[in-house]
Amino acid sequence: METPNVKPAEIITKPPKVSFSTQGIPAPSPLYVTEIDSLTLNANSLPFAGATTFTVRARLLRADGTITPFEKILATTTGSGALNIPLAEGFLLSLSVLVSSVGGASPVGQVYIQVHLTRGFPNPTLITMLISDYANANYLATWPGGRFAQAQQGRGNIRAIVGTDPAAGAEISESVPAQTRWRLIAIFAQLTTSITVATRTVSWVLDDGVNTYWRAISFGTQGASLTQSYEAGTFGSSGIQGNTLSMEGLPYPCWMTSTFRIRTLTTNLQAGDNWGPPTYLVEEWVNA
Amino acid sequence: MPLFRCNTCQGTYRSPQSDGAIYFHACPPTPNPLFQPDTAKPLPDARETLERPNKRDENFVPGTLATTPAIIAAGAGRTQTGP
Repeated sequence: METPNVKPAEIITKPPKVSFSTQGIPAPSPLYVTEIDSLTLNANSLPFAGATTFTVRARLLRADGTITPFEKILATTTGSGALNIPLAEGFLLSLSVLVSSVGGASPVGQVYIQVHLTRGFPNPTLITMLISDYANANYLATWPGGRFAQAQQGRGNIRAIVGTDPAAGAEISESVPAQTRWRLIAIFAQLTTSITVATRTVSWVLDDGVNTYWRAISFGTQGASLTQSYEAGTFGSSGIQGNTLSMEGLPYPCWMTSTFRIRTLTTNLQAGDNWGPPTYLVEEWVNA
Repeated sequence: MPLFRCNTCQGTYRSPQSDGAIYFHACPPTPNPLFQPDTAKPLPDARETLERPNKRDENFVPGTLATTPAIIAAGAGRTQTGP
């Protein structure tokens, strides 16, 4: 029996239109560094951030073609500190900073970091900035591909604070902590008056620790043996409700920074009159 | 959330707060018995309040957070009065 004249099977592969070099390839990074260069991490946090650890991870493409990953850790008790990382010669391929706090993932807005490329030690010259952003355990600050943000940019950390309950006869006075910028949104407090007959008039006052720049006088007054509520907020209106709640409009936006205070000033405050603790809502940023 | 009493102004406060954040107490100024706040004026007169003697201010001295945090003024200290 004769075999039909059939050609042997052959593999037909469409060749790719693009070809790649496998040797002498330029490094996929614009950042060539040498032994006299360093990475400098500066961490700034809101003062209540507490113990915070910063893990810097990077990859370096060395002259022999090998990729060297490395990791350095900065452990702080306050969330603020600095770390210098000497480099070897090569191309910096990637860089990231992981933030971990003792209390778990801190909300965005509490820990602000910057990483600079610097040269020289111990007084390094700043060459360029690689990272400038807020970060936490769920959000890595990275280069390349990250965003550049100033400490006061974007949404801040939202926090409700219960202030000091003053002794009888004392006023309310709450101050902005160090290294912090607040946008005060609202504040509420109650005044309980003694049996001493007098007409009390309450003012909310904003100052920078010394100079007063804003005051709002309540619409109503308060006599003896009464408990009345006073609030101020950026809701843009003032008034009185049911003779027991006085509302004042704060400046909008109500920016405050370290040493600034919000306090009460009560005309005819008696020794037995007693302010309760104020409760207030702020949006806050690291003031770095 | 320990409760503290300031030994200078006798104010009470909780630190850390319910969200774990440290609270920084600072004593309020004292009313001036000889100079009542005048509500007819747009801004308060500085003489209406007096700086409290031996004031406690738990805020950190600016610039010390990255090294050795120090509070501005210890005043007469504080006493824990509750859990």
